Amino acid sequence: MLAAEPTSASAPPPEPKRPSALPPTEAALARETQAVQRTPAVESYIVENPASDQMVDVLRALDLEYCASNPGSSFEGLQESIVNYGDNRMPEFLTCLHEESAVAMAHGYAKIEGKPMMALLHGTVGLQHGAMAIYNAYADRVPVYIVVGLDNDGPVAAHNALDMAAMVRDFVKWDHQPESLDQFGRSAVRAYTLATTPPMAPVLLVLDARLQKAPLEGAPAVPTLSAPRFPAADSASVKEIARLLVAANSPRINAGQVARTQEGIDLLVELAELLQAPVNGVTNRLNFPSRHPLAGTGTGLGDLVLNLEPTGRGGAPGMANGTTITISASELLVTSNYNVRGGARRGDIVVAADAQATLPALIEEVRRQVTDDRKRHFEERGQRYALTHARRRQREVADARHGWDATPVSLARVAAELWPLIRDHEDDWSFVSPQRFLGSWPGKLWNMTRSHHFIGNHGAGGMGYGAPAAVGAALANRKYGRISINIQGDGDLNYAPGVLWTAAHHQIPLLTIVANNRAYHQELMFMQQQCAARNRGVDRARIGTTIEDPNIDYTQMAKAYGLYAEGPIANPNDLGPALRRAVDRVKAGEPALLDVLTQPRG
Amino acid sequence: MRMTGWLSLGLGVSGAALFTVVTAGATIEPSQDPAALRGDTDRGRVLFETYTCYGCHGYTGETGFGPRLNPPRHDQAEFVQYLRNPRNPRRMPPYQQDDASDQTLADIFAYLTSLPSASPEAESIPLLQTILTGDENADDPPN
Repeated sequence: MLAAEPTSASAPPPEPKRPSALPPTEAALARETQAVQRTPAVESYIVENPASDQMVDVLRALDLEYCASNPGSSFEGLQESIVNYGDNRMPEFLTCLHEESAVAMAHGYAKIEGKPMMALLHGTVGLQHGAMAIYNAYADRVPVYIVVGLDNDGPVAAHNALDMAAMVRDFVKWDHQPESLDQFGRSAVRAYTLATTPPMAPVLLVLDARLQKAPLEGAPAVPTLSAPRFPAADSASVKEIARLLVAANSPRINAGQVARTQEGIDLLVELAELLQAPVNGVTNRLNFPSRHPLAGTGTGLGDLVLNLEPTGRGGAPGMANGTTITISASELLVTSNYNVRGGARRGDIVVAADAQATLPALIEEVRRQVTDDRKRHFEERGQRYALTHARRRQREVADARHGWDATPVSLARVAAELWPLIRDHEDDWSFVSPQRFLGSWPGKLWNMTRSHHFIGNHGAGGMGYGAPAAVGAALANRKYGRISINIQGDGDLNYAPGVLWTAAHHQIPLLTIVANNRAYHQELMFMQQQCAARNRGVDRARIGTTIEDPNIDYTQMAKAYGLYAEGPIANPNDLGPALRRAVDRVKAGEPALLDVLTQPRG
Repeated sequence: MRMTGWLSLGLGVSGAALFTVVTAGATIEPSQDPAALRGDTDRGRVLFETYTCYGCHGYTGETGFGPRLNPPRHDQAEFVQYLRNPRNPRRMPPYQQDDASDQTLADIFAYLTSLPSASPEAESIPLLQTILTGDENADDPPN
């Protein structure tokens, strides 16, 4: 390309030199007497006081610690304010390599911290990337604070939308696109309040780029956040439920997602001990201490089941034709399209209320109604249940011996070898991954007592949750010094492995153990069923369900993202030393990964 | 301790082709007494993978959702009978003669009977004993 001519064709030609005694021309007079003006183009580009600065003040008032994001031009105004005006603190910008990871990180973070993290997504395409993770959080009743940029003046028409939130409206609790800065403040607070009021769920704000980039006019007040009040059961229902519980001879408590916090676990322990009722409580998160004598489903047939935020339709093992009571906030958040909670709550008494918020009143009412005679009965049955629990625990631990020396490594051995390395960590530990595909061995072998000891499953079962949710949970655990453990399926890891880089970049300590069975093993078993049912070739069940040929080298993958990594480990005798080395790295504050070739199921 | 074909042979989708070769040499006589067929351990090892038995029973027949197969709890006749008519066909797929011949099942049975145990007694595993006694956690960790 040629250099530009010094004078463009449209510019006036230079005036000829004149003797200084001659009077100046009109143009020269004007130049010397009028005020110098900047070119309009430069003047209009500088915005010294953008509205997005005010937005950062609002986000800070909401106590949003982090903003997980993959960059996008539709929110560059807000991003600039976060990193410059806000000095990249409260919220701190977390660099994610995929929007699904950003949302899933926020999902995992909220399960530990009990409050939302912000996920900042690019218009249309970024939101589409994040949609699956939003759906998981929605089904899991976990708050995520989602902000999506909208830039209808932007360079890519395909990123525009008339109704940005439409594509995820079925699985967010509330969405809004504020038209003014003042409205943003009010919407931001409302979104936060709705997200954190049971039933908790993701919320979404759409932020127009014009609003982000406009100069701040006036100074809208930063709204204050009031702690939300939780919907508890009415007193008449509480009295009736307490009466039935006290009268029942063999009640069962079926805890799905009742304990959002440690207080929830403590309350459930109080109720169970008061009634001496067994609790099915290590299901979709830790609701009840795993080694409590009342943990389990008791013995014999129950005559009453109390479902507390059940994740299915309710019911509990060992139930006779007795009374069923369900307390669940699910019916308060039902959308017509996706049936994430398995249909209407069932029971003889169904209360649409938050179970954890109802427990204090229920405990008080049970305490009021129970008589000395009933107390004696409760104590007798409690001794039976404690014995049943002890026998079951003995059997479960003994079962861990099966395949103990097998190659590939048994999942029970992975959990057993890990336990002594984390149990004595002075700042405690946190198991931040699902355990359903692991034979639930951590829940069987580890002493889970605190809410952060097990944060539960995916929500909607959407793959790709494991690694990013674990990183988000580990981020929340970091400030408490806890060691975070993620036993990670290999299939799940391959959806968005870039989150390993995010863990390395932001120095998030997390031990990831790839439970590597080189397959989408659940699907492999389903295919095997189909092939056998049709009697035409079980040997082909592996087509499309295995992850082999070539085998994926997760050690090299992790190293490429900047992590300490070892593997693949196939010999069980090599596992313990490798775990010790990796745990030492994590205790020192960095993420580490071990690739362990495992038996397909526990 | 045994390393199965999944690791040592690198079997992938090529397992289907390998299965064809293996079964080509097998004697498939539905009228024969299934219990009288002599199984081939090496063929059985490959078939155990090809038929994805390991999916529910683990690579050594000792782990997973399904019942323990190592050591076998039934004789060969009972084993074949069960696979033809499992008690719960929604969990354990039924294998008919066309899909898995008596010889195929005899080979798998022979493999199962040849497997050494990788499951020591729980009492001999210190880690499990410590977990069982609960001595490791006298005090709850801090919040």
